[in-house]
Amino acid sequence: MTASVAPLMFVALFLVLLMGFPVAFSMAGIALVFGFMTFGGATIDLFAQKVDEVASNYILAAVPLFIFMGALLERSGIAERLFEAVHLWTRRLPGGLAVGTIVMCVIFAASSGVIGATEVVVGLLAIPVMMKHGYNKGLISGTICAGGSLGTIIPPSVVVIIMGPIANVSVGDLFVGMIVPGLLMASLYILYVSIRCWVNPPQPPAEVELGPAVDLGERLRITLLALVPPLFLIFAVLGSLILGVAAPTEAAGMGAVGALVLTALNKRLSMHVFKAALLQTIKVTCMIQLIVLAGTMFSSVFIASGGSRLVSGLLDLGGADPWLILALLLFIAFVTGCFLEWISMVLIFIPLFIPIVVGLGFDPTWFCILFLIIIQTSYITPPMAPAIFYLRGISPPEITVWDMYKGIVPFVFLQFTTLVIVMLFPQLVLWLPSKLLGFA
Amino acid sequence: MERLAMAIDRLSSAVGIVAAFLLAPLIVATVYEVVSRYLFNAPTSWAYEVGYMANGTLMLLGAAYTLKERAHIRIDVLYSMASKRVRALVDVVGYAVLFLPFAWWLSAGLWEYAVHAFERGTTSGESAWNPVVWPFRAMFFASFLLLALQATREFVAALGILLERRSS
Repeated sequence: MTASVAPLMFVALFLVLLMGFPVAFSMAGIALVFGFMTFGGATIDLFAQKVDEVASNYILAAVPLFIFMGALLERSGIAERLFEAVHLWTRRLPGGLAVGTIVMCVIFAASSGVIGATEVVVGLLAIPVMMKHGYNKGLISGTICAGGSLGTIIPPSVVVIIMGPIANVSVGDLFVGMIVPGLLMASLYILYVSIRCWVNPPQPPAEVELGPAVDLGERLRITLLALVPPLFLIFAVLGSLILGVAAPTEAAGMGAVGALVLTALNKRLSMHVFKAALLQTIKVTCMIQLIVLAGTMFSSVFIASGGSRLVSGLLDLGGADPWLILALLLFIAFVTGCFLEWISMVLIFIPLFIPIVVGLGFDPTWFCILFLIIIQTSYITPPMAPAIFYLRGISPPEITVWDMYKGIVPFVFLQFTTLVIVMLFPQLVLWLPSKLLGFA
Repeated sequence: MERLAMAIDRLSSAVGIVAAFLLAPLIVATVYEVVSRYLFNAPTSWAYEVGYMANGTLMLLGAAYTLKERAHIRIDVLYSMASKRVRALVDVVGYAVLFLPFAWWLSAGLWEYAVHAFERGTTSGESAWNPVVWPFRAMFFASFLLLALQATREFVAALGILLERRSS
């Protein structure tokens, strides 16, 4: 294939994707068409090897485990107790419910690797309460969507499991490296909702009781009881990773067992719950991993036909400033992210961008974190916004799609603020892994 | 025809549900490995291979079930606004031009890939256990064959919608 045909692969892919044909099937089919033009019948031998490669990838085995963990936790009932406990502490603050919701999202994101699970579980609990207390509908929508998106950047994250091997970056480094940026972003959210509610307090339609004041001892007791289960899980997963006891897949296995134990302790574990969680797991797992497989085929055809040389050639043009190129890459990812979901973004862009970024002298781990933040923006920006899709499934009809669109805007700004801070201070990503995992 | 379609659906579901239960050996293998390595200082020779094989198998065998359940994600910004007939058109063209050639041809390729490994007695070479790889590769073939069948069934259904509207 000549260099002039390689970009056509992308044009064709975007056209087919936008028409709405399943993502995995689109990538696979286009890989075959263009692969056949380049290698003829040998394409199928190449693809058979790719099947073997993806099916034999031990790190990918963390995907079903993390998804199962989230699927069980959704049904475990620990979220309800956690919500009450968090609310005890935040209710006297300006925007206390919204602050509490974000704290919930952080804790839940840290004890599950699934995107969407955090948002649905927390949203179901928090939306009715916030509505009752007269919170602005845009603020509610933004808080839930942006809080739910934290699942991407708070470890453990399934996105990172997929991204690490493709970017040739250690999943462990990414997990540890994203802790500080993730907490920074959550803090910005909290700061924003507090200031907004302090300037413009929510107006409850009628006098709503905050509930009786609870003394400190009682508060501590409730909090301890509600917090211990998720902390236990967070320790089982992140602890075993950070302490070097377990590889990511093994840590995910520990998380799955931990979730089973917690659900059992909460007396929610039944054959029905177990089977429902399993079926949800296999559907999400197959969907994700089939795109990984198809995307691997797509990029192998693209790279073998000289596509990556073409891209780096384009970007070297005139020896532009490396930072300008970096910004351009992130901008491309952001714009296309409005239309694509995260798996396609990772599979399409990471194999393309990583060689460029490394060539420019940037740290690939740091770049992956920047890319994760862009994925978060893509999660909440329409028209392809899974966050809004989930929110519509769980919110009352009084919240219109326009409330949602308006509500997410400030949070997209906060995500970009985090992006810029992490760009300016790469130490935010690199410091913690160097301390904990001991690499330079 | 209708009965054949139902039979394919049932087969995909049955295989998918069996595949879902492979999560159990995956959990056991990963956790057993950690416990055995740290508590008994005796890493296993098999957990790594059982782990990736369980995932590889559940992810490939479940693909047809996932399709039957309509869980393969689409970028549905435009698709969700389109009429039923336009959607059927997208599917008919997509399957005919892109996915069916891929799925059927890759099934054939994977068959050869498995036969090749069987004839040579190829082993994985990944661990001390070092199992023969042909059963794992035969699973690749079976998975893609089932996915190709289910995709063909979806193609025929979409074609049916397209033609039925045109005749009325």
